[in-house]
Amino acid sequence: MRRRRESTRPSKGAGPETFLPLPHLPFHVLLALAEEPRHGWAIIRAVRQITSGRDNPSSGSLYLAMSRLVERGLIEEAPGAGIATDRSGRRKTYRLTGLGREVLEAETARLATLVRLSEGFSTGGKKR
Amino acid sequence: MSASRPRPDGRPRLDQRLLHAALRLLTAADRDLYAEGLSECYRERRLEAESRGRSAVLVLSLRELCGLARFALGRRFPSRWSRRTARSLGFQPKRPVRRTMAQLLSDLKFSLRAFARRPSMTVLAALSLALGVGASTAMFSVVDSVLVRPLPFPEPEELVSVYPTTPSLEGHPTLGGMAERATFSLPEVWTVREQQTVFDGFGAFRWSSTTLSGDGPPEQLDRGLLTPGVLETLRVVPIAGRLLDPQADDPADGARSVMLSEGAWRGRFAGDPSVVGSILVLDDEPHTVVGVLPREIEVAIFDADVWRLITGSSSDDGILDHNVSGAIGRLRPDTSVEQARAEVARILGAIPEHGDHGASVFPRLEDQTRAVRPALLVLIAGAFVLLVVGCANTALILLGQGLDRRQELAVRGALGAGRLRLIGQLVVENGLVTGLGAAGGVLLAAGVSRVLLELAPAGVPRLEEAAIDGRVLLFGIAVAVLSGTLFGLAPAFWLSRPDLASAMGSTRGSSDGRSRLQDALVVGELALATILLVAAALLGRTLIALDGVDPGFDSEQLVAVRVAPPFQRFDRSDEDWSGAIDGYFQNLVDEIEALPAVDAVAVTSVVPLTGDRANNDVVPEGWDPEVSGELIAERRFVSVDFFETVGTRIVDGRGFDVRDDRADAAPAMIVSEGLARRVYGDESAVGRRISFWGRDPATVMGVAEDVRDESLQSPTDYAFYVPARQMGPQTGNLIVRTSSDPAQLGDDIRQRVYAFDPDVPVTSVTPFVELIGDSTSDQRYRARLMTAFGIVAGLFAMLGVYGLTARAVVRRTREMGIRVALGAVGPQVMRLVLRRGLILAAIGAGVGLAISVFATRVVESFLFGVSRLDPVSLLGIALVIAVGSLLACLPPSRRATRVDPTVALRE
Repeated sequence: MRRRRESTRPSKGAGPETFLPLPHLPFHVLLALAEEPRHGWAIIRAVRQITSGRDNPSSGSLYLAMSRLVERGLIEEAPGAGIATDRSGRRKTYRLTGLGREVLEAETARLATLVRLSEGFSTGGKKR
Repeated sequence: MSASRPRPDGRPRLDQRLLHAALRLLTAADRDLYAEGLSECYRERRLEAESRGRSAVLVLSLRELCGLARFALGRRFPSRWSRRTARSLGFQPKRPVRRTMAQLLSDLKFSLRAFARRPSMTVLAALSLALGVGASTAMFSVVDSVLVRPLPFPEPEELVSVYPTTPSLEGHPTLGGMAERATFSLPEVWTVREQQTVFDGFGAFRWSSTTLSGDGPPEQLDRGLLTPGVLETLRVVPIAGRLLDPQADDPADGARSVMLSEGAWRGRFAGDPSVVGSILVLDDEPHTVVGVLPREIEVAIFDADVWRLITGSSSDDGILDHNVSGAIGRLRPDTSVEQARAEVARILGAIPEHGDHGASVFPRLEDQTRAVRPALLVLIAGAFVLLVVGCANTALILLGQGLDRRQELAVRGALGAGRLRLIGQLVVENGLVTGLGAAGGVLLAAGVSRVLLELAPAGVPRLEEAAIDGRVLLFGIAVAVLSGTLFGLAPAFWLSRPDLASAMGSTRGSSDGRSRLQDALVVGELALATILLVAAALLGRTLIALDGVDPGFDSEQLVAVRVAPPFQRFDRSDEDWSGAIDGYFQNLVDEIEALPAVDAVAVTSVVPLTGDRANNDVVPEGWDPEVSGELIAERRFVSVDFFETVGTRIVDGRGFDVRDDRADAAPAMIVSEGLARRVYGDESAVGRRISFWGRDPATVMGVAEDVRDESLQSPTDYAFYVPARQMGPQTGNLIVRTSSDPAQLGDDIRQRVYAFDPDVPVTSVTPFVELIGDSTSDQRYRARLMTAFGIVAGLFAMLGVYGLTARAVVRRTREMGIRVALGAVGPQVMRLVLRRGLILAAIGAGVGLAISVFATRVVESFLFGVSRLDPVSLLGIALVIAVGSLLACLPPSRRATRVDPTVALRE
């Protein structure tokens, strides 16, 4: 409490629960990366696909979310996984870390619980 | 088709450039990591959008740019999610600066809430500082404008005033100023002009008046007479037309050329440039306007409406008979003031009839401001003392508020807030108060400086230019920041001391160290307030003493009237020129005397207390100037009924009467008591003979009491009076004795004079009461300002005493409760509280008085009729401080007597 560490690395033993609940964009990014490592534009397309086009983040929003996820150690750059493109030479691709996968699972479990809990309700009206 | 395809001219597209600009918002590290990816996403997006048309591209571009901005901002300000996860992960945001900003913001919010809980104390603390900053900044604006700012001419530091000196007058009661600053005669000016090698230009000037006639009633104008060289020395540039030129405008050649001053040009001619070349009728003679001089000339020389040259052969108006009033030169770049002085002294010394005169040279600005410098410096010192008192008061309030929160601070410390963190919080709080005070002070300065100008006596050079400009603002802000930091930081450091933690759990225990600091602040405030009040009291007593002075004439019913009869219309070559003028003037006097409200009208060459000066060497029979020294006495040409009219007593011999009232009468003279005593000692002066101006000796008919017609502060020691008619035609200024209200007389006189001759301007009609008032306006100004400073400082000090006592009562509630429980009665408790306040007051006032004994030296030269160690002032102020402190202690002490022991003990 008194002496604070200056490191930006998470302390050991920080469980995946500490990240919950995830905001929707980080969640979608983690979902997109769960299938395979992707570069930025591919993530956007994946997010659109996952959400059936409901979520279409701007590049800035996407990278804001990604930069935070990188800093928290949920995703990371995939070494050597870049593929050549016509113009920029090499694209940076990202993949889930072990922690990222745990967090994704925990969040998915949390959402599943929520869905189960709310099964008794419908949008139509109250059921006792 | 690609979004990144360059335009045909090779330059990148607008959206590309915007993208690059937006990317620059990111930190370097983020750019390295993400710029590539961001650009690519953008390119792809754009490709998609292009297939949907231009508007889609536009919408996309905007959306993407916003997104980028969000990225940049989001990286600097973490979202709630990332804050929360960061916290739970136990790491801090990367950049301490940003953390500090966030902390500052929260400190600020906290402070605002704290202030909202105690608005009166906050306002008081800020107000104390604001008054100090306001007063000192406003005074600075005056000092800056009058004393500091250079003269508005090229290379102003080279400009100097040049005077002959008269060492024999050293220490002379009324002419002492002439010892260092005598006046040049015109021949002396020509000689210096010809022979000097130290100046890049040298010239002299004199004031005179002239009558402007034309369409309306005649007006008297101020006229500046300039020798060639003055305008060139100043390097002044005309704002219209050209400068006066000694070749083209030599009055001796019959040229009648004048320049207008900017003020007259704008006032009378609405700034019309076509006035150059037009004709003005001055003293009944046509003059051509050749140009307009800028306003700056007022600062360097004096204020006049029109300017004319005088040359060695100007023969009109008897101008050559008079000395000039001043001379200026421009030092050559490699010449010192001392070298210039030595050379002028050498040149003057070589003039045979010059006598024992030397020369003096002063920087022009210093010379122009010498009369007002000491007073302004004292006043700004006063303002700064007030500033210190204000700051002390602010510190006291902040300290008190902090002490009330000791427990809070201690808790925060115990919970892990470091000392720096605590100081940070306190500094933010105090900074808020001092910032408020500073801002208020600078705003206040604008108002205060307006009041300063409003109250200021006339004749302070460049005073009207005083304004809150950039320089002054900078000064005010610097003062505010400095004092705010000092007096805001000090309490913060004090309060955050580590041993404060020991205060945990004891909210009412006495904390001696801290209250000693508060005591010291209060004592300091009291002492400084005492000093200011003592100075104010001395200056106030000076005013009272001046009001009580008998000037030697009946001021109540007298009115000074200045008229400017058109004597030029009388032909000097006419044999009866003198008689014609005399007759004309007498008719004018008779007209005025015929007014029902007028009891008597006297004529005099010198109106009392207006700064009119005229003096001569006088040589009594048997007086050897070699042995007994030169005698210079004030000269007054008066009508024979002068003494009865103004009410000056004849203490020996007789006054003038009809026998003396003829041009061919035996020369008669009346001398002042001072002159009679100086020359004849205890013997009577009546019947003695005195000559002046190389005329036949006049017989002393009587001795008049000394009058204070030069200044109220001291009588004019040596004066002599001569019947005006014996000196030529009787002309001059009028002194009217009225039985009605002097203030009402002006219109009657103007109407009567206009009916008599529409060409006679009545320049001024001034009741003597007003003249006396004007002559003490300097003293009044000083006394008023110092009193204002003193009262404000005194109130601050009382507030300090009150605050301290009130806090002490709260702190000692339990003790009081115990005392009451043990049988102490109200008065005893009250005495306990009062004692402390009064001890502080006694120490403060004592220290203040002790310092005053020395500090009053500063105001000594402004005092009249009161010693600087005047016991009435010193003890009176001590009493005021004591009574004030007693009053300040009363409310808290009464509260102390109402302490309920059961409640106090239970707490």
